[in-house]
Amino acid sequence: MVSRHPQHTRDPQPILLPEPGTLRLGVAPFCHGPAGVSFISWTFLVGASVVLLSGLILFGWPVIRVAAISIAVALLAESVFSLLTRRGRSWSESHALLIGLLFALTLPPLIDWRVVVWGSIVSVAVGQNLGGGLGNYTWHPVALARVAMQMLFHDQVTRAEQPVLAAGHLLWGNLTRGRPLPALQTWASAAPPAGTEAWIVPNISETLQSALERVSPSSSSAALAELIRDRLPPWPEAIAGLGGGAIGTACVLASLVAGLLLLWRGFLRWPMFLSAVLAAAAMIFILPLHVLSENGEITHFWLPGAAVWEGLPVGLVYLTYQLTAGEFLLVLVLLAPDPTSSPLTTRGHIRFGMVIGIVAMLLRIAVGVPAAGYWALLVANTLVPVINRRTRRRVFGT
Amino acid sequence: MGGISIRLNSLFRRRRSFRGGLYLPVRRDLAVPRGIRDFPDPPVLCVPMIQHDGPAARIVVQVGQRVQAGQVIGRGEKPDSLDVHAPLAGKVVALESVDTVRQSDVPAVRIATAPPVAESSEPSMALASTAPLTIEQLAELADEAGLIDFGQSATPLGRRLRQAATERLNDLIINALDFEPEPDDRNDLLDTSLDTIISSAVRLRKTLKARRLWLLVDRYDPHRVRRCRAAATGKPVRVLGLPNKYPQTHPNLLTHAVTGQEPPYGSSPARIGAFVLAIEALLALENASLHRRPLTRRLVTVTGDAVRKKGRYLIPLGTPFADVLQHVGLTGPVLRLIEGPLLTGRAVASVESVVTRQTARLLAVGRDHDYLANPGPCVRCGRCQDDCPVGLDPRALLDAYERGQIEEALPLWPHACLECGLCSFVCPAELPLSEAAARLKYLIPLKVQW
Repeated sequence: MVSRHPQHTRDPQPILLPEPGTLRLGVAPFCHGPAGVSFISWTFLVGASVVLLSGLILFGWPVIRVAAISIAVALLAESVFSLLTRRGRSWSESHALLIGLLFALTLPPLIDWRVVVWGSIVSVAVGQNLGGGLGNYTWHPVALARVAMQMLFHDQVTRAEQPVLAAGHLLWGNLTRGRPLPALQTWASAAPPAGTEAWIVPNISETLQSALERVSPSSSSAALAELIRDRLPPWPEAIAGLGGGAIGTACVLASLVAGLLLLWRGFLRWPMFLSAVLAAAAMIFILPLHVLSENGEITHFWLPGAAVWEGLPVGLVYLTYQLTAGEFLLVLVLLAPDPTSSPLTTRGHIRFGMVIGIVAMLLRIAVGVPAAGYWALLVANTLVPVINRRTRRRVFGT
Repeated sequence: MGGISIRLNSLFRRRRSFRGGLYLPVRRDLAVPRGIRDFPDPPVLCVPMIQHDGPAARIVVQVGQRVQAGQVIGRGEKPDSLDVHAPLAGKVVALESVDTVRQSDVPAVRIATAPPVAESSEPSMALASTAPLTIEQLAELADEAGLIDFGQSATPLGRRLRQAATERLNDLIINALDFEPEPDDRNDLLDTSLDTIISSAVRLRKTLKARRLWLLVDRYDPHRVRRCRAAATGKPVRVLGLPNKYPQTHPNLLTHAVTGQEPPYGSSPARIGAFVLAIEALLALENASLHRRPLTRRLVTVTGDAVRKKGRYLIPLGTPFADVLQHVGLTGPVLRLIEGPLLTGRAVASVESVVTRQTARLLAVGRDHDYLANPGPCVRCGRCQDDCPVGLDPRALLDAYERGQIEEALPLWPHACLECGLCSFVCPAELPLSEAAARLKYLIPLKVQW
C-alpha cells in the first residue's frame, strides 16, 4: 500500500490507497442476480424434499430405502462418468443428486431395489450424460428413466393396488403389514385391526381407467356417479395422498407446496403451469370414456366433464379426480420446469405446458398408457427446438 | 374522424414500457446524501485530450505556460473531436500520456494548480451574440464547450444535435430517470434544479423546433411526478411517469415508450424524429449556451462500501482518482474500483487514472465477497433471452463469438444490443454474454448487416 497525503485535503490522516496492479479488473456487470446454477439445483432439491417428506409420512421407512439407493447410485454414476471423461468436479454433482431424488419420487415405496438401481443409472448415465450433459440433454433424464423402467418392469412400477399407512401408524408403521381397505370404507373411517398397519388401496388413476365396465350405456352418468361414490376415496383424502400411489405422486398437496416454492423463486413459470392444467382439463372434459356394456359392447361416453346425475355435476368431480390423480402434477411442478429441457421464453413455456396437458390426457384417457405424464413430458421435450424456433421474439427495431 | 381515430389509437396503443427488462434490486448500501458536497481543488491535474468517443484534441499549450480556468488547452480540429479546457488556473508542468479508464496512452496536459485558485468568472468562450441560437450554432457551441451526451457511449453532443437537425423533429425527450435504482443521481438533480431544467428544455425545444416536449420521471415516485407537473403547468412540457424497469433509460427504449415507435435497427431515435437528452446534458448545454462556460467539472457520485464520505462531488476534470479517494476517505482496503454503473461500468486499473467527462460514478468496493464471475456450463434456462430488452438471443451470440464464426452472428442482429449487461446479470451460469455481444458489435460493421 502506498501512503498519499495531498496538500489540498483537510483530512489529517493519510489513507492507504491500493498499489498499482492490486485492483481487481474484469468486465461489467460487477454484480449478479441471485440465481446461480447451484442455487437452481438446491431450490429444486428443497421442493423435491418436501414431496419426499410427504411420502415418508404416508409410506414410512421404505421411502428412505428407495431414495437412498437412488441418490447413491446417481452420485456414483456421475462420479464414474466424470472419471471416465476426465471432467473436473462441477455443478453436475448437485444435479445428479437432484436426479436421484426425483427418480425416487416416481417409484412406489415397495419396489425391488434392482429397479431403483437400474433406473438411477439410466437417468444419470443415459439421460443426463449420454444425452449431452448438463445443459444439453433433450429429454428430462428422470422422465426418460421412468418410462424405460415402465417398459422393462411394468408390474413392479405400476400396481393396481398399493399400500398406504393406516391412521395411527403414519411415518412409523410397517407398510408390509397391510390388508385391503374394506369395501365402501374410507381411509379415515376404517379402523385397522390388530397387526394391520397399512391399508391396501386401489390406485386412483388405474381405477379411473378401468371404471366404466359392465354398465348399461344409457346410464353412463349414473355409472360415473357410482364410480366416484363407491370406488374412489373422498377427494380431500385423495389429494392428501391417502389414495396411495408412487412416493411423489400420492400427496398432491405436497406437490403444490413444492410448486409454490419454485414459483416464488421464479423457476416454475405460472403461464406454463396454467396452460398445462387448462389444456388437460379441456381434454378430460371432452375425451370420451370407454363404456363396456353388460352385453360386451364398447361405446364411447363423450363430454364426460359435462355429465350431470340427478342435478349433481359429477362430470366436474371426475375432472378434478383426473387432474390430481397420478403423476401429472409431479411432472408439472418438478420435472417440466427443468431449465435444460424446457423452452427458452415464456411464450414457449405456454405452448410447452399445453403439449404436456394435451398429450398426457390423450395417452391416459384415450389410449390407456400407464405413466402418461412422463410420456407427455418426453413428447413436449422433443418439441422444444420447434417451440423455441416458433416463439423467438422479434428483435427491437427490425 | 381522422383525429378521433388517431386519439383512440393512441389510447389503446400498448406503450410506456418494453418487453423483457428487469426491476433491479435497490442497493441501499450505494445510496448517497442529497445535495452536492464540496470538493477542494487538487494540487495537480492531468487533463486528457480524449474524454469522449472520438479523436484526440491537439494540445495548444506549452510546458511552463500559465493557463486560466476555462482556457482552451486542446483544440478539437478533426471531425468529432472536442475542445479541451483547463479546469483550473495554474501552470503547465508537463505534456505527457495518461491512462484513462477507457483508453491508454492518451495525450494529456499536466497542470500544477496554484492554491488558492479562484475560477474565472468571465465567460471563456467567445460567442458574443445573445440572439436565439440556431441548431448549427448550438452544436458548435456544444463542441467548443466539450459537451458529450452523458450516455453510455459518450457521443459528442454537437454531433447528435447535427443529426437531429437533418430529420424532422417531433419529440424532444428529456430523461430524468436514473440508470440504476441507486444512487438516484438524476432524482437529486431534478429536486435541486427543476425550474432550470424546465426552462432550458422549453428553450431547447424552440431551437430544435420540436413539436412535443416530454419530461420523463419515475412513475413510482408520485410525489416527484406531481411536483414536476406543477412546475410544468402553463408550459409546453408533458410530464410522463414511466416505470423505471432496467434498462428503460436507453434512448431507443425511451423513444419507444413515448412515441410507440421503434427506431430502425442500428439507428438512433433521430431517425424517427425523436431526440433524447439526459437532464445533466441539458444543464451542461444550458451552461454553455447562456453563460458560455465550457465543461470543466463533472458531477461525480462517489460511493461504495469502502468509501467513508459518500456523496456527489463537483470534481475538476483531470483529477486523479487517488485524490478523489484521498478526499472522500476510505474505510478499508479497496479491492475494486469501478467507474460507472454496476451493470455497465468499467474496472479501474490504477488510482492514477483521472476523472473525465465520462466519469459519472466512482464505486470503491472493499468487501471480501466482491463479485467475481465464475462461468460454468449453460443450462439453457432462457433467462438471457426472456429478459433481453430488445429480444436478442445472447447465448447464440456467445456461441458464434466463441467459435469465431462471425458471419453466423449476422442473422442474430448484434447491433440491436444495448450493452445493458442484463443478460450477464441474470445468467445463472455467469457467462460473459453481454461482453460477447458487445465485441461482436465492433467486429461486424453495421453496413454488412444491411
